[in-house]
Amino acid sequence: MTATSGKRRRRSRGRRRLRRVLLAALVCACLVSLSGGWLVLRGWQTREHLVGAMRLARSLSEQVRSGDLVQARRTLAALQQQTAGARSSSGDPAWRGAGHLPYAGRNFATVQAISIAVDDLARLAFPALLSLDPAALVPKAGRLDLAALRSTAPTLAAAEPEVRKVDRRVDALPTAGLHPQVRDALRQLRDELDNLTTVTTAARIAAALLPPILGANGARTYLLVSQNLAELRATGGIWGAYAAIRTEGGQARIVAQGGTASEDLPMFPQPVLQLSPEMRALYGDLPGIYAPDVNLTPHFPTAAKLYREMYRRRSGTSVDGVLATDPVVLSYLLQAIGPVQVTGQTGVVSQPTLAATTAVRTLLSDTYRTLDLKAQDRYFAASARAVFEAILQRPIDPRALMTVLDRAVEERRLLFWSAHEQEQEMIAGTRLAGVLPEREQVPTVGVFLNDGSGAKLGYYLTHEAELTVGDCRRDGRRELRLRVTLSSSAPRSGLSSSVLGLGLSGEPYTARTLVYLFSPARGSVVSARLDGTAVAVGSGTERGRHVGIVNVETPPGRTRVLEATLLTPVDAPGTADLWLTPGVSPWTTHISSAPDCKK
Amino acid sequence: MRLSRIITALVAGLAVAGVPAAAGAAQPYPPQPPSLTATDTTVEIGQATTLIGTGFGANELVRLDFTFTPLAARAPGAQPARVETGGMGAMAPASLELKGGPAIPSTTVRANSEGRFTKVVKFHHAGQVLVTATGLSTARVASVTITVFRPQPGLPVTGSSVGSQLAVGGGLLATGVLLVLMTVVWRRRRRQDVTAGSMS
Repeated sequence: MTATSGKRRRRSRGRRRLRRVLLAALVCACLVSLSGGWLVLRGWQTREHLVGAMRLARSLSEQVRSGDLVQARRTLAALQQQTAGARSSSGDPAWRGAGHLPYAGRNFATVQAISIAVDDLARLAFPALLSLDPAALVPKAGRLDLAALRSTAPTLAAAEPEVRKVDRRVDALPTAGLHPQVRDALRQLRDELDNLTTVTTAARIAAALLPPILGANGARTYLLVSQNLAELRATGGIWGAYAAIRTEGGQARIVAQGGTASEDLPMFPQPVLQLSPEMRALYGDLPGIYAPDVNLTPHFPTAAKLYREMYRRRSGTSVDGVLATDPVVLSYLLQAIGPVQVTGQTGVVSQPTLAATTAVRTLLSDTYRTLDLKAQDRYFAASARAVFEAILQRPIDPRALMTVLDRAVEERRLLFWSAHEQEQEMIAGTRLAGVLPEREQVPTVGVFLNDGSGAKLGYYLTHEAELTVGDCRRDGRRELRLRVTLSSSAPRSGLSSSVLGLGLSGEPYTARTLVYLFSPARGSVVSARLDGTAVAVGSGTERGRHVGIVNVETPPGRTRVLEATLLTPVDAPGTADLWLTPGVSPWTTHISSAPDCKK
Repeated sequence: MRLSRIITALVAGLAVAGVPAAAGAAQPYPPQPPSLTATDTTVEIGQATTLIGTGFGANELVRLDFTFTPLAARAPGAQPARVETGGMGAMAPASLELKGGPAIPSTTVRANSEGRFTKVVKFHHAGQVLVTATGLSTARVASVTITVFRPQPGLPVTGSSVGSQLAVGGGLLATGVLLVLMTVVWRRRRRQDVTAGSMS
């Protein structure tokens, strides 16, 4: 009896415990599924908002570039709604709590960080960018609206730090252990932020610099030089023709024109400015005494300073800066503004009209083949003036103009140096400045070509460069293998004496190219082989880089292959970059990176 | 007759020797190929590189000066390098050891009839060495910069192959440990077997 009742009591106690356990499990399951469901709902909402924001951001970028500001402002308002939504749906306590979970937690935290970043951009950076009307960057009836530009400068200056702040925050987010979708979103955001940083920096510099450059604070004079790519120099080609341009109150006009190699800028007996010992060891006195040699160095500010001084000695005018361009940029501009009639020269050249597709050939080949020296100078001056007038007077689509200028700067065909220190400091970090940096994040190998034949055979050269990041050495340096291929499509006969020039290679149709190989900053050039055979290398230093010089003579129809071994500085990453002399035809390049060295 | 011929030859010789000087002074506008080159522009301490000079006067004496800069600094300093030279050019000494110090450790080499010389050099300090060749008659100057590194212990290795070497090494070590353990276990078992056998 007692045993039976004891058994019953034990059983009922057991049941009660089971019931309690089951109940607790049920409550737990309910809580988990409720919060899980809530997180899924919030996640879905956040995703919808972010996808919507991305779509709107793309339209916004299109509208800004096409100058449709009314529509762009509407798009921005909608975009801000979406980003605010994403921020709030990923910002509630449950989501924040989920961020601390093991394994999946990092995904929640990253989505929240992405939402905050996008919302910050939409609220703090985009409105500032909309304040600059791209149409304000294009002259109307020969004049640029400086007041409009000036009024936007402070707003743009304020936007840049905001973008950089967001960029730093997003850069610090870890990618390891993320769901592929979240990782993709993070990668896309990083790419967009890179673009946005470039755009905001460019807009800030443009808004701050264009007014003083265009004479808002008093008249200024600039030298516009045309790089003749048919005779190669490190920054492009010899500065064949120049135009002095005077700017005042947003208006620009040509006040003088001349030719570098003609009597306008003859050879000076002594260097016009003191050259550093390392410059003299590499190039002799040439950059300091003769205008077509100022840009034997790839460092544009040095070339511009020397040219400015040469011009001052001849004309008595100290210019405020130097802008270099080339016929390829001219062809890009002609794409944006349409063909231009070169007046006063009809009948001298077969193509009196300059058009995008024929400009390079007309200016760099036909002119030399058909005209005598004096007529060449006249034709170059007339074509420069015609294009300049067309840019100032014609209605131009700002988007098209921005696109071609962007391409020209990207290809290092448009270079600018300002004699005003503060202005130069602002542009020094951009590609426009052509500054050979003394320090760099990614080891960069420079391949700069200087013509040594005194001929216009550069027009017929095509080039390829291949850079491979190689072995790690025990001292922490990396080996870089460079392969440069030069080919000449020059004919074997029939070229005029203007094209063949001095013919210093010994064989008039053979192009002598001095290839200057610049090591990465604090790196070095080891050795070189030409067509598989070891060659002796000339060598010097410039701006913290070891420079190797190899003479490559390319007969018509032949291809020469120059292979070089270089070393990076200690602890360089597995990536590398190339900096090349822009030519008539674009370079074919290939860079093979490698994993970072193990320590 | 004979004397006049000799004088004519001498005058012609002098004129030829003077050409590079005149050309050097006038400096035609396109850059010329470098007159002083090296087979290797970066070497390790003790590794030889050959200097090749061209465009000097026929049979001219050329002085080689060496200016050493430690790698960290940029501007060329005045500290002379310790250099060991061994000649290959016409009439050049076979080998020459030049100690560093305040005295200028320069050396001379004679160019051949085509104005060309070669010289093998080795350096004993890490840094950048500016080698300047000066033609003693033509005053023609050319230079080359050699980077000198400390020698690398062993062969260069790639990052990935370090990984694979580590993996191979680790694998071997693990196999070794396993084998040792197996041996111990096997021996213990055998001993136990032996003990059990003696007891039965």
